Formats: sequence, C-alpha cells, structure tokens
Amino acid sequence: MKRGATQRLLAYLASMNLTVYALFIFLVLVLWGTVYQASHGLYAAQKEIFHAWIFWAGGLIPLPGLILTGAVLTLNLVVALLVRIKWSFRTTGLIFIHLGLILFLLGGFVSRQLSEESFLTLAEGEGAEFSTSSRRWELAVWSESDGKRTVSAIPVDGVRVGEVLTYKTFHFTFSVLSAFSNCRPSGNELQPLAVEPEVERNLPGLSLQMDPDGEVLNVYGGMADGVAIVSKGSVFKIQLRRRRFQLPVKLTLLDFKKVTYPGSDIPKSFASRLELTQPDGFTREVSVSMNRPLRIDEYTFYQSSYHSETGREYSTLSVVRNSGRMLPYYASLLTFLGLLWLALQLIMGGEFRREKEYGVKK
Amino acid sequence: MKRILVFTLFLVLFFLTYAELNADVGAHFRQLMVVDNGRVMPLDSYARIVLRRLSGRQAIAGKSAADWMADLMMRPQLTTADTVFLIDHPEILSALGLPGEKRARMSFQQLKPFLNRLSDLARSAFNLEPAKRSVVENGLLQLYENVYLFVSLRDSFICFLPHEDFAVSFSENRQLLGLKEQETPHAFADLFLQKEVLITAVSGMGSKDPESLTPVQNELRKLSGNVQEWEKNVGNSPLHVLPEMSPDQAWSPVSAALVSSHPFHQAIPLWRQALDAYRDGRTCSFNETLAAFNRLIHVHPVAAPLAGRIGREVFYNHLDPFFWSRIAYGASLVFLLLSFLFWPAGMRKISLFALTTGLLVHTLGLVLRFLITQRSPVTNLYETFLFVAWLAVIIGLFLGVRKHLPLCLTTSGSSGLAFLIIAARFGTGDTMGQLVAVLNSNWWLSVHVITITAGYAGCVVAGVIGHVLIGQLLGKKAQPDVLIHTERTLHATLIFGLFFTFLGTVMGGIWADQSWGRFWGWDPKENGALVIILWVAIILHARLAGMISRFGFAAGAIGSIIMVVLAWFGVNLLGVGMHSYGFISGIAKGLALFVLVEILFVLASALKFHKKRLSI
Repeated sequence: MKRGATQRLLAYLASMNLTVYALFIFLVLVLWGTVYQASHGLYAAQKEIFHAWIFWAGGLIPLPGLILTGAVLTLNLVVALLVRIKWSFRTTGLIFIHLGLILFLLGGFVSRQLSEESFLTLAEGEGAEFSTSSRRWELAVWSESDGKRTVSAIPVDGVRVGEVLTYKTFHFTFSVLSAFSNCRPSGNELQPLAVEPEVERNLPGLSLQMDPDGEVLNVYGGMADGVAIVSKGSVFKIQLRRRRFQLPVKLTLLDFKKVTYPGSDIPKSFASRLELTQPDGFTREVSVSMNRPLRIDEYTFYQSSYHSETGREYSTLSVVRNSGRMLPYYASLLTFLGLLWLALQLIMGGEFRREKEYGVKK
Repeated sequence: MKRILVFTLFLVLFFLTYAELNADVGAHFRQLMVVDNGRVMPLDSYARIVLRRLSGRQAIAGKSAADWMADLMMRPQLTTADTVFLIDHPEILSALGLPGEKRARMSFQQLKPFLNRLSDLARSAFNLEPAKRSVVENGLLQLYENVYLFVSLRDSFICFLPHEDFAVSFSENRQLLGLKEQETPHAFADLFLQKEVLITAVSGMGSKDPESLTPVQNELRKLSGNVQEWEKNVGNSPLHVLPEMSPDQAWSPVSAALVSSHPFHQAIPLWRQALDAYRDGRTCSFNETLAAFNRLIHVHPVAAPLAGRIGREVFYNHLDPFFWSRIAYGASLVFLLLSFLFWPAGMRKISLFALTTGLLVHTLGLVLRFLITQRSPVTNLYETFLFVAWLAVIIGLFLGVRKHLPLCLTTSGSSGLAFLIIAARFGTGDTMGQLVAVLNSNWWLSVHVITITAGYAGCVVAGVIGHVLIGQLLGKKAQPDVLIHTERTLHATLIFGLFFTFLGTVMGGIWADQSWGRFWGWDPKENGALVIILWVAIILHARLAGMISRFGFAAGAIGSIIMVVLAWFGVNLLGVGMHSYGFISGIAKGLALFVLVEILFVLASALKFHKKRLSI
C-alpha cells in the first residue's frame, strides 16, 4: 500500500534521522556561537545565533538559527512521542526523558521571552524602589507641580527614524529624525560611534522633533538629569536614561561587607545587609550574599559586585524577574526520573536488546 | 595471597615515607605554619610553591625546596649562586642584555648587574593595561616579582643577622648599649632592643655639625639613624608565621613582631636561637627550638584548628602519590604491551597488579587531599584531572576484569596515565588554594562538578574503547562475538557518560540559577558541556537509526574524547589568544596536535577499513 504524502511527512518528522540532523546543526551552532562570542561578545552571539531564528553566516549565507533548530527538535520530539515511540511500561523511562527535553526546550524559549534582568546599585544608607537596566533605554518626560512628579517613559530600544513617540499624559509627541546605537554629543550634533561588543558600554542618542512642527532637540545616554523643554506654555523635563523597572518593595542598603582570606586579595565572601519596606509599610531586615540571593515573588536579588568611591561603599545587586524560573527545574526532574528508570532497567535487565528496549518501530 | 602482597607493599611504602619524614633533621622547620595567599600551609608546601614559581623545579642543587629555603633565609650567602631564576623567553634575555639562546636559569649573582634595567622594564610593563601586555612584558613583570620575592624572603631574618650598618667599633658604645664584645658586626635586633638608650644618647646632638662631635658620638648617631631607617622596612618579609587574634586578620612575619608590639613576643628569642643554631650547624638545637615554637603556635586559638592538617600535608608532599600512581599506570601499560609478545597470562596479571597498586596510591592521594583541604574533592582544574583519571581507571576496571582483561587494562591504564601527566603539568602553583567567594561552599556546585567530571570520565573511556573497537575491526581475524561485546561495552559507557554529563550540566544550571539568577547563559563552559551531550546523543541516535555502521560508531566515540577535551580545557583557551604566557600556549599546541592526530587516525583507519571490506 502506498502511503500518502501526509503520512510520509509525519514519518519523517518523527524519524531519528531528523533528530540526528537537527542535533548536528544544534551542535554546529553552539560551537560557532561559542567562538563567535569570544570575538564579538555575548550579546552579539545571542542576537545572531543563540536567540535567532535565522543565522546569517558571515552575513551572507542563511542558516537555521538556534531557535529554529530548537523548534524543529521540539516538533520532532513531540511527533516521535505521538507516532513512533511505543507507550508501554518498558518505554516509560524513555518517554519521561523526551518529555523532559521538550520541557527544557520550551522552558528556554519561555524564559527568554519572559525574563528581565536589571541592576540596583546602592550606596550605604541609600534606598530605591526601582532597578535599572544595563542595556535597555527609555525616554522619560516629567512635569513637577506642588512637589509632585508625574513621569511618563517610553522604551526606545530599536526605535526607527520616522517613528512617532506619543506622550498621552502630556499631550505631545516626538518624531524621530535620527537614531544612533552609540554616539556622543559634539556641539549641537550627535556624533555616531562604532558599536561596542559589550552592549552595556554603548550610549545611544536620538534626534527628535517635538510635535509636528516644534523645536528639534538631541537626547543621548549620559545627558544631564532632566533638560527643560517647553510645550504649549508648560515646562517639562526630559531625559534619555537607562530603563527603570518598578520593584515590588523598597530596598535600603544598611551595610556592605567584604571579607578576604587573611593576608590576601582573594575574596571569601561579599554580603549586603538591607532594609526591606513592603508596600503596606511593614519593614524588616534582609541580607543578600554571594550564593544566597533574596527572593520576592518573581524577583530574585543577587549580590553582583561592589565598589567604593570617596569613602562610601556601593553594592550592586542584580535583579532578575523571571516568571518561567521553575520550568527548568520541572524539566530536570522529569528527565532525571526517566534516566533513573532507564538505568534501573539496564542494571536489572542486563543485556542490551535495542529494538525491544527502545520500542523502535521498523 | 596476591591481595596480601599488594597491601604489604602499600603499607611498607607508607611507613617508609613516614619514617623518613620524621627522621629528617628539618622536620620541624618543614612543619612551620605559613600563610600564603590566604591559606595556612606547612613551610614545606610554601617552599615548593616558591621554588617552582621561580625555577619551575622541585629541588635545586641537590637540596629539597625546604632545605633551600632554610639556606636562603638563614645562610643567604650559600644560595646567591643557585640558578633559581627561570627565564623562558629569548626576548626577555635580550631585553635585559643577558646572553643565552632560548631559555636560561640564572642565579641571583648573575642577575644582579641587570636588576636596574629589569626594574625599569618591569615598571613600564606594569603601567600597561594587563590585557595589552605582550608575552615578553608579562615575563619581565613576572621575573621582577620573582626577584623581589627572592630578596624579601632572603631578608626575612636579616634583623637577626650581623650587618655592617650595626658595626660598633668603640667599646664605650658597646658598654653603653649593653652589647657583647665580638669580632663580627652586631645585628639590627641587638640595637633595636636598646633603641631607648640610643635615642637618649643622641638626643642632644641632633643638629650639631659632625665635625664638632667625637668619633664615638658620631658612631652612636650613625647607629641611631640606621636603626630608624631599618625599622621602616624590616617587617616586610612574605614569610607570615605569627597568627593574630582574629582569624580574618593577616598573619605577621617574625621581624614585624620585633618592631611592633605583637602579642607573640616570645617568638623572637626562639627564632634568634634557631637561627644561631642553624648557622653554627647545631641541627639538634635548631630542631628543638623550632619544635618549641611550633608548640607555641599550635595552641593559639586561630592556628589550633588548622594544626592537624599541617602534618598531613607534609606527608602528602613527601609521598607524592600521583607521581607513584603515574609510574604504576605506565608500568601497567608496558606489561600489557609485553603480554602481546610473550607470556600473555602472566604479563597481564603483572599489568593488573601494577594498575591496582596505582589505583590504591591514587585513592590515598585523593583521600589525603580531602583530609587536608576538607572540602569537595574537585574545586579547580588540577583536581578535575586527578578525579577524571581516578574515575576513568575505575570505570575501565568495571568493563570486565575476568573476561576482557586487555580491554580493561588498555582503557584504565592509558586514561589514568594520560590525565595524571596532564595534571602534573597543570599543578604548578598551590593546588589547594583558597576558593573565591562565588565558588565557596555551595552544595550544588560541589555535586555539579563531581557529576560532570564523572561524565567526562565516561566519555573519555568510551573514546578509548572506540580505539580498541577500530583496532579489532581492522584486525586480521575479527571475531563477531568479540566485536559485539566491545560495541556493547562502548554503548554502555557512552550512556554512562551521557547520563552524568547531562546530570552534571543540569546541576550546573541549578547552581547558576541559585547563584546569579539564570539557568543557562551561553557561557563557554556551559556550551562545552552541551556540546558533549549533543555529540553523544547524535552518535547514539545515529547508530540506533542505522545511519552509521559499527565503524562509524567507534569513530564517533573517538570524537567524544575530542569534545570532552575541548569542553574541559579548550574553552579556557578561548579569548586567551596572543597574550598568554608560554605554558598556556604550549597547552593549546598540545591540544591542536592531539585533535589532529585523532582525526588522522580515524581517516587512515576509515580508508583501511574500506579497502578491507572491498577485498572480502
């Protein structure tokens, strides 16, 4: 009996041949990305290869990116589980492993979409309710009246020339005349610079026209805190700044402590003692140290680095918000159980009988 | 009977080392507690680390490192001609204007006329950004630091040694200062203890013209000036042997206790006695004095908890277990090769005996390391080599000692030997150094590293079996049942390797998530582990799907060794590039050579295999 095209496609999607090819491309991409990273930086490697659907090798040849390859592998696994692999007591371990792998691949994708990393640098005695992104930027506009500040901020990463940024709260717009990933001000102009591989070091710049026919102004990373602009008779302040994220609590640094091994520069531990204020006003002390993060809801605070300046100690915490954080744990558990099952089978079953063990349909 | 023999041999070795150690004249000197880079260690280890750093050697001019250090500090004139400074780049030699073609070992005496030039060159290298320094600049800086270390160690006890600066020629002055009548000059310590008297005596002559003073007065003034000048620098020895009251505080050198009010004032006369005894060749007295000093230190609240490790570490240094297990694994391979020539059964038994002896000593070494460091057995690159070698030998022994002895001996012997040799090349600094904060005490990290090294070991053993399988396939009379058995063994080993690499990688992810909030971050080390997993998964699935033959499977297993080696220390070379120092680039060359040889081996045997199939 001749099989239909759909069945043939399904059989190929479920086949181990596809697995081998997809795994091989995955391997090549990982190796390539690792070497690429050494010269172009991690961010570029992620953008071009690890987090890409299509990877333009050498800028010319389109290859599947890691996300596409991962998607094919996931599809292959799902179809294989549905049509190829027999579901029986003997194959339980195998099924668990492959389910776990699917969850790993999906979890990786989800975490990439949902997680947000930012930083919180505090001097001793200083407190903050928001953290700052190290590579993303926003254009913030605010007005002040009776000591109250009304802020509206629009993310400007990847903003294109001709785009219009609308500030509804304040009833005005900016249209983008030019945009640079890395630049520095020179006179009244913005002078573009080569993009740094370490993305954190780039200072972007925008040339904006206020309202359809208003004044033209330049904003850039590292500009003064709040440059005054006038629109329809009222004064606003504007700043291109690193993107800010509201935290669920207020954190105040009470004390930062660094301990080294006696008579050496080798750090033994770093720790920040913080005061945590909840929205309801309840206050308690917490500590964050190397390998001992603080977790609040979806947020996790890690001791990242420190520095001291004019006699004051500064502690930097990295703040990760990831609602898919538990996925890899579930995936690990599933895969581990599968592996354990398989190992027990091998130990107790003795000989390898491939066809039966793996339930391969001929 | 055999087992009894092995154990007896083992015990004899153990006690011989132990006995030799305690009969040694410098026993108490070796056991001095010294702090280097934040770690409390016996002077024996410290001396080895210093000597290896300066010269790349364990012993010099027939003296052990500790004996050399004793001479350096207490009879420095005996060591100025020892060629302790290794200069391993011809451009460093020519930059200094030194003769020599490729590399040279120089003594302090030989180097002395060039020190000014060295210090200028090193200073300009120091002012460069570390990443921008060339090999030569790094080498010059290193050499300068080495000379500085040598000099400051040499001057550790200079405060107790006679010095021209403290020659008191007038007996009035000697009487005034309560000094003994002697031929040689006095030492800084003698005059420093009389500092008050000296200051009072010279207080009146502060601004007076030297011409208006008597020679006796002038000498006093000169002595007082020298004492004050020396006081500033004399406490700078790197030999930190006196604990402070808090465990987080740096330990002090003996000379610092002399010039500051250190609670360990009793140590000063003891060291003075020890020094005199050593210089006069009174070994017994030297030993007893240092024993008394050690007893004093061992009851100190900061030092007491660590005292037990000191003896163990000295013993470990002297036993040098990994050297002996290297020899044993090598011997095992030699006997295995001989067994193919004559007396197969007997030779293989001897080979197995050598292998198990090696494994026992290897195990003892790991246990001793654990007892000394009291932390997880795998915390740095050096320890991964020791551990992978150990696991690979054990996995090899599980392949079937009764039925398939040659396979066992080949895999165990060769992987054990290879990784211990690499370990020896890597273990040049302090292999038990303190852990930086991020690696310090985390359960997931310890388990992750142990698991992943087990995975590495599995994949390496699989690669060795791959070689064996290819050899069998190419052999004249390949028996089907032997081939099937080898392939099954290979299959099982690969699954073992995959299992542990996967588990280890996942645990690494958990550690990373616990420590800095991301399960996976495309870090080169993580990618390396992923590459191994992917590779092994590819060959297992390809074989299962019938995409590759038995030969291809074996070749794939060899590929897994390459992947392991790349993941393990190949990634450490990424980004190191041009600025690395001689040793690392040597490793990179070795790595490239290894990969090339393996690829050529697989290609050549593929060609031969193809021809053989055609001829059948």
